[in-house]
Formats: sequence, C-alpha cells, structure tokens
Amino acid sequence: MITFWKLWVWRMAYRDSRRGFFRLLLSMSCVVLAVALVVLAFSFRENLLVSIRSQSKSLLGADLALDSREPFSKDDEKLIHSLGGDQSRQVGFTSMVTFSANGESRLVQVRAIGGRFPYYGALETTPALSLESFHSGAHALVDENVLLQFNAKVGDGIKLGDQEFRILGSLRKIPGESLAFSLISPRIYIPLDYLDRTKLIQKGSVVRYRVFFKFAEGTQVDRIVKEIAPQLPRLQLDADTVSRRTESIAANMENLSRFLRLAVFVAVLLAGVGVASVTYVYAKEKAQAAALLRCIGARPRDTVSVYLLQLLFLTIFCSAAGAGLGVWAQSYLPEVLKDFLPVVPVIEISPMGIAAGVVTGMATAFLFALLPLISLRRISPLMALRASYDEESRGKDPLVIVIVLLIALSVLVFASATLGSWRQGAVFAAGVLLVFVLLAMLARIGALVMRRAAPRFLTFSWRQGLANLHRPSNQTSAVMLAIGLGTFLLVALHGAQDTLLRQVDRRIGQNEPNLVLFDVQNEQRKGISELLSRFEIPRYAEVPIVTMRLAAVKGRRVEDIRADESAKIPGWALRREYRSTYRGALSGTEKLVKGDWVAKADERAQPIPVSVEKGIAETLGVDVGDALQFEIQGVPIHTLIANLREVDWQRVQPNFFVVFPEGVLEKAPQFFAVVGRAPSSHASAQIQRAVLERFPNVSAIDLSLILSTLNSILDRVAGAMRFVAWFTLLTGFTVLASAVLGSRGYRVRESILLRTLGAARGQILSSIVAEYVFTGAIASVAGAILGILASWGLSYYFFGTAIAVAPLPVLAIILAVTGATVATGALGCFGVIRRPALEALRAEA
Amino acid sequence: MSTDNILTVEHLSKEFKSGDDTVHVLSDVSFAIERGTSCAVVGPSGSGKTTLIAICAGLERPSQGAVEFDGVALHKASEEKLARIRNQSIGFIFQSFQLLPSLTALENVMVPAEISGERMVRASALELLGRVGLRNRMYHYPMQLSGGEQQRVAIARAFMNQPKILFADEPTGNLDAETAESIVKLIFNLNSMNRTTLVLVTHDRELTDHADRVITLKAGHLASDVSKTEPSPSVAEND
Repeated sequence: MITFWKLWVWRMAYRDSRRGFFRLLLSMSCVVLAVALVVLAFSFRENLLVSIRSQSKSLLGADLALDSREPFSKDDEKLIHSLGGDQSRQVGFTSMVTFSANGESRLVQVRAIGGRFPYYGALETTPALSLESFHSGAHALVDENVLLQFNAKVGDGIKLGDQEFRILGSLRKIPGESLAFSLISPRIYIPLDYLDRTKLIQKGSVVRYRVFFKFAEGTQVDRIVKEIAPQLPRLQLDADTVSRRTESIAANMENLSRFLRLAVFVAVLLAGVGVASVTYVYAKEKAQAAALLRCIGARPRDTVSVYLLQLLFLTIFCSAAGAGLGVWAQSYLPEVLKDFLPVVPVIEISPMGIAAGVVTGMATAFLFALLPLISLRRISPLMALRASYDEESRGKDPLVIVIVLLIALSVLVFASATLGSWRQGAVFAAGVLLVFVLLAMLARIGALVMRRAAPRFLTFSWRQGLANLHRPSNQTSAVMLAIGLGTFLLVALHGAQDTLLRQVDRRIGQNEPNLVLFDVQNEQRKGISELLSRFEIPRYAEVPIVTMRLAAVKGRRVEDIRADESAKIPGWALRREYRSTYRGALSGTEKLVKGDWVAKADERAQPIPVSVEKGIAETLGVDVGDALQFEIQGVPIHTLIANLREVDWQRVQPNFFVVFPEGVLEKAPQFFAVVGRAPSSHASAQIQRAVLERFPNVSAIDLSLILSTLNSILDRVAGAMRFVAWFTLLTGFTVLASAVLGSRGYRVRESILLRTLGAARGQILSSIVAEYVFTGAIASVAGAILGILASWGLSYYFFGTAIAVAPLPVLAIILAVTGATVATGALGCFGVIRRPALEALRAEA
Repeated sequence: MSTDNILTVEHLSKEFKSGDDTVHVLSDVSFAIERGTSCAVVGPSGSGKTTLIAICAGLERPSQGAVEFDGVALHKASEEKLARIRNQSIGFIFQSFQLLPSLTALENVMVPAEISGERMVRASALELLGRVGLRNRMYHYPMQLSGGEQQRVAIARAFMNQPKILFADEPTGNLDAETAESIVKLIFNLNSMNRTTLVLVTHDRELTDHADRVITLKAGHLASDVSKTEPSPSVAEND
C-alpha cells in the first residue's frame, strides 16, 4: 500500500511540504505534548526503579529488622543475641501529643529509637542533626506537617504522657516512607531511653517492638533469614530484609507508575484524535492535488505515500521535540508526586523512556493519520476535471475498518500490558471508548440543540458564531471531545473528593457520636466519666476492649498457615492483634448478614459462638460454623462463628472484627473506649486537653481530626491526579489549536466574504469569539455532565452514598475551560481579519 | 478498426444513479479519432462532453461500450495500467489550470516525468517552459502567476512526457479573450510540433475553428460529427 522507495514520492513530499509546513507543524503540537507525557511517565518509572535499587538499604535503614507485637520474650532475645551484628531497638505506638506553646493536642505515632539506627540513609531533618545530639536529652523529632498544622517550631516543647520533650528538628524524610503516610499517621521520634518516663506503655496498648541489625560487609542476610525462618512463627516474630522491603516498595511504586502511564495514554489517544482531525482537513485540502497527480499517471498508493511521508516526517520531528520536552520536564514530576515517593528519585535521561515516547507517539500519529489519508487512495482523477465530482459511488473503504481495528487492538495491548491483565486491559479500553463516545455524542447533541433552539434575538455575530460550529472542516466534534475530556476528568475528581468528604461529614448526624477516647484503663473510667459530665459532653457508650491473637483458623495453627507458601490468607490478618469486645446486641453501625445473633454464652462451654465482620471473614476464608481459636495472654479460647456482620466503618465509634457474647470475656484483661458527642470542635479540643492532663495515656479521635486527615490525603491524591487532568486539558487545547490552524483557510475566505458583504471587523471578531464561547461552553458542560455522572457512579457503586458535588467549583471549571477555549481559538485566528480583503482575495484565488 | 485511429469509441454509454433515478449521461456514442488530428467536442452544458473525454482518457469507466486507445482496451484495463497510460501517453489541460500550488512552475512541469521514474528532467522541463515563454518565471509559485501564465505552465506540463494524445477541457474558459487567443495558438503550435492528437472540449468558437473535426453532443447523444477535410459518412448532422 505504501511506496516510499520511489524517488519522485520523496521529491513531491519535500516540495509540497515547503509551503504551509510550519502551520502543519504547529497543528501537530498535540503530538509533541503526548510524546513528552509518555517520555515523562516511562522515564519516571525507570528512574524510580533505579532509585529504589540504588537506595535499597536506606529503605529499611538496616540489613535486617525483626518485629513483634509484644515485648521480646526470653526466647526472642536469645535468637536476637545469636544473630550478632550491631543492633538498635525501636518501640512504636500511637499516643496523644500536646504542644506546650498552645496546649493543642492530636493523635500521633510515637517511635522511640535507640542505638545507631538508621544505619543506612538518614532521618532528614531541619536543621540537620547528628544522632548523638538527638540521644543526648529529652529531644523529639516531629513531622513537619504537624509542626505546620499546630504552628509549632523547632525549640518548642511537647508533652508525651508524663514526659516533656524539646523539638530538636522537623522531620522532612524518613527512609523508605512516603510523606503521604505522615498525613494519616504523623510521626514523632524520641530517644528510647526516655520512653519509660512517658508511662504511655500500659495494659492493652498496641505496641510494635522492632530490632534493627547491621551486619558486617558481605554477610548473606537472606541466608540468615532463611535459617531462622522456621523459628519466627513460633516466636511471633516477623523478619524484614532489604530485598523484601525493596520488592514491596517497588511493587507499590509500580502501581503508581501504572496509574500514571494509563492516564498519560488517555492523553496520547486524545492527541491521536487531534492528529486524525488535522489530517482530515489536510487530506481534504490535498484532494485536488491528489486527483491531479492521479490524472497525470500517479498510482493511488504513490499519491497516499506522498502525504503519508510528510506526516511521517512531521511525526518524527514532533516526537523528537516531545522527547526533548519530556526529558526537560522529568525533573518536575517527582516534585508533583513527592508526597507519594518513599525514595528521592534520581533524575537521569532514560533511553527506555525516550524510546517508549517516540514509538508510542509515532505509532499513534501514524495510525490516526492513516485513517483520513487513505481516503486519498480512492480519490478519483475525475476531481481534477470536475471539483463537484460525486464520490458516493465509491462506497465504504474496508481499509478504514482494518485501521480502526488496529487502533482498538493497540489500545487493548497497551492497556493490558500496563495493567498486566487482558481482562482489566479490555475493561480500561472499553471505558475509554465509552467516555469518548459519550462525550462526542453529548457535544454533538449540545451543538445541534443550541443551533435549533438559538433565540431569535441573538445578534448577527452570535448567530454566525453558532453557525460556524457546523462549518466544513471545523472539526467541532474532535475539539469538543478533546476539551470535554479534560473537563470531565477535573469535574469527576472534584466530585469524588467532595462526595467522600461530605459522606463522612453527613454520616455524623445531629445525635451521632463524634468523639472517641480510647485506651481508658479500668481505674480511669470514673475519672473520665466525671470529666465528661463537667464539660457537659453526653456519654454514649463505654465499650470494653480485649486484645487477643489468632491462634488457629479452622483447626489449622496460624504458624503452619504462615509457613505454607500456598496459603492464601494474608500475613497481616494472621499476625494482627485482634481488639475484640463483648455485648448482647448489635450496635447501630452493624447489620447481621448471615447466621443468628447470640447474646449470651458460658465461658466454660467452649467453643464460644462469636460474631465476625464479613470482610475479615472473607480475608480469613471462613464462614458461619467455622472454628477460630484465639489466645488472650497465652490462654486459648475456642470459638465458632455464629454469624457474620456488615459494619459501617465510617462512623466515629469503635467497630470490631470479632464480637463475643456476654458472659465470656468479662474477667479477661481489658481496657475501655468511651464514646461521646462534643457539641463543637472547640468543646472537643477542651475535653481532650483536660483528659490528657489527667490521663496522659488516653488517646482521642474526633470528627475534625478524621475530616482534616481525609482532606489532606484527598488533597494530595487529587493534586497528583489533577496534574494529569490538566495535561489532558492542555492536550485538548493543542487539538483545538490544531483545528483552528487547520481551518484557517476557510476562516480567511469566510472573513473576506463577510467583509465584501459589508461586515465590520468588529462583527467578524465577535463571531469568532462567539464561536469559541459556544465551543468551550458546550464541550465543558458536556464534560461536566459526564464528570458528575462518573462521580455519581463512584458514589453509588463504590462509596455507597449519595453524590455530593458543590456546584460553584464545577461552574468555575466550566468558566475557566470556556475562557481558555476562547483565548486559544482567538489566538489561532490572529491575523485572519487583519488581512486586507484584496490581498486575501488574491492569495486565496 | 483502422490502424490510423489512435482512439476508437464504440457504443459508449454512461449512467449514474441519482437516488432512485438513473441519469443517462452518454448514450450509444461511437466515433474514432485519427492519429495526429485535432478534434473539438462541443455541446451545451450537461450534454456529456467532460464525461466523454474522462472516459476516453481512462479517468472514468463506461457503463457499456468499448474504448480503445492506441491498441489498448481502456474499459478493460486495470487501474495500474490506466495510470501508466495516463502518465506516458496522455496529456491534460484543464479549465482551472490545476497546478500544484506548493510547487514552482518548473517543478510543476517536471512532475509527470518524475512520476514515470526519469531522473534528468530539469533540462527538458526548462526547454518546455522556454517554449511557452515562461523560463524567467520558473521559480514562481502558481499564486504568483497570472491566469494566462498558469495555463502556459499547465500546457508545458501536459507536453512534458511527449504524450500521444492531449485532452483539453475548456482550456480558455477561465481566460480573457486576448490571453485565450495566445493560449489557443500555443496549444496548436505545440500540437503540430509534437505531432500529438488533440481532443478538446470547448465553447470557444476560435478553438473550434482551429480543429480538424468537430463532434457535437446533445443530451448524451452524438448529434453531429463534422470533419473539415471531408464529411463523415457515418453520421449525419441532425440540427
């Protein structure tokens, strides 16, 4: 079909491209952007993997770490001692911190560290500190986000339990941990020597004990882990090595990179639509020339080859420019995603990224350009004789179907390769296609309705602008699709964020609890109750909590399951500490979905009938009637699953995986969670301060903390996604610019005609502005409608709540997109109305 | 068929579908054109003139009938073969010049020879441009040339591959009288110099006067076929 080897084809392609090449080059700017995005996404992945590999040791900070949920036993210590090397200890738990400067407090993750940890990498702080200075007193390193939130600074005091600490530095980076993690659970580091003075470790406290090892150079750490592996389940220990940590972080980063590549691919497809749109106009312009070439003996495939060769060179040029832009911009992407990166990315030129960008860009541009260009193959030479030659007799071109299928297959292959699954790839490809089709349909319907329903009082300019949407070669559908897609992404993102936040806010109704005080010891219950009464905070419930470990599932020991590599139960579900309660009835946040509720049981009549949350039952692979064995401080307790519950985890009150009936756990070691409702955030802060002063070990969670945490996380996630959405929108505007440049000839002729008929320049300018107002408004409204529909889908199917989208930000997005459309369109038409009619007439003749 | 005939048309018909209707553009047209002669095809608008020369030049296929050009049955030839014949044996001159706007005058003239794969074509193209009086305008683009100049370039291009037959569709239709006259002279001069057969569709009286033979079409039928040297024995004049 293509005859690139013929000399005249090359000559013709070159000569024909000398005029109007720059305009065509500008029209293909969407390819530059698309290639830049692909280079960016793929280089980011390569650089990230290189960074993870090169910084692998600092991801753990040591050669090996052993973890336990309980203080190390004598057997544990024996094993730890036998391993040798340099060792450091860390004790981690959650607690309330109070900032001395303003008396405010919040829940944080405390890490008490001893020894020379981290051995590799460093806790990055401002100011930079040495470990010696940190360990030399009651010092604390505090997450910089928390310092900002509480307006605290280095040198200020904080209080953890009974001990005062001085903030020695703000924590900027912890090896192997992303900043986003600190939003959920901000960290404070203190010297291990000062931990006991806080008196925070009490009965029922959830504590993680770790020991870090640094071995001599050349030690085979993986071999050591293999040797001790059989002992670890028995000792309730977990081992973490550099290779395991690297593998796990690389897998997480691969997910981030996948998201980025898929998002970028949508922009690439959009650029493909732009290329098809530009080439369509181009092919129309060249139809007469193609007919003439056919007339004087050129074969159909030679004629197509001439223009394909031009497009190919343009694509090569644009791809090279895009690759350059991508390489230049790659240093900015880690900045946007820094909150989610556990390593400091190395910025290097990635040949793989450049190759991916150039190949993807060229293949996309080539395939999409081929679609309109192959029509030249069937141009009748008769067109040279008669411009109005009726082409309807030519029928449908089967090659078009082949190319469309090839494009669909490419999308499927790319998506499947990125997602690692044909099924998911097909779902993604179908989703993208659906959005494209819906947007194009909505935009088309919008344009038709506007034209039909246009009020008669519209002035000439506005009516002309509206009519221009239907101008031949205007590529209105492609432009609207491009702009609409960007708007769709922005509105859908905004809608999802809004819905999530409002969902949490709304669920806490007028009479719902909004404050939980936990880790309340038995002897503190009375004091807490008095404090609540004094601050006039109604107490809703006092929930007993018993901590226990899972010992066996369906009669099989947890150690055996963990040692079995074919077992499908995740390690966390087996290792975790189960904080369970006992009561005689379902709580307001629960719903029985299977089995019968058992209100009371006899502790001596084991197995005890228990209620299990549906999700954890699925994770453990158990159902009603299956046996679970727990251990409470070494005492076994046999249970049988009596029923499964659904739990609404979004309410501010303690929820449980396992609920025991009354009459079993009353005598077991336990602590309490007190649930109340503070009338305002001010009252909530006041009671928290008072509780902390009197009972430093008690922690508090309130609605404002949940909302602010959720908001911070969503802000960061949405920020990263918005970056992609803006790029998509930018690609949309390059498609618009391409279409404007492509139809410039028509505009000039139209402008001349209107001026010949007596239209003033102002009127023509107004009609151009009106055209882009309509284009932008229809496209952005179509995108917004689809975005709201997508938010509704997310709310209904994923969040199980009603959609909540604030109208003002959506309106702002529509206005901004419309404004940018008008600016881009008007800029592309610059000079059209400034040309003298006579000169233009001569030029266009 | 006579071996002196370069083009023979037998019982040629052409129909187009227009919705549910069938439009008969040409009906049972037969004639033959001798090598080296000039023939004008005249008739009112819509009589089928352009369709006739499109079929004769292998640009369009007939619905019925046969067209034989220089011993080749065009109505049966493949698209590849037709392209080769158009390139090597046929020249075209159009009413609206049809120059490639992105090519200079010289390059426009060179194109047919380059398509046929010839390498050293610049000298011949320059010579042809010289013959049409535009050597000094060889680097000008079509939009920088007047209508008459553009048609001269088109004429030079039409003669570039030394065609056996030249089809001209209203070659003076877009030109003023004075320019038209010079173009007519140029076409006939080059035609006689190159011993090319000339078939032209025209309304121009002067062009008709120069032709050896005049074929008149009316509503797709051959209305008359008048030879200036001797009257055609087969077709009587109907008007």
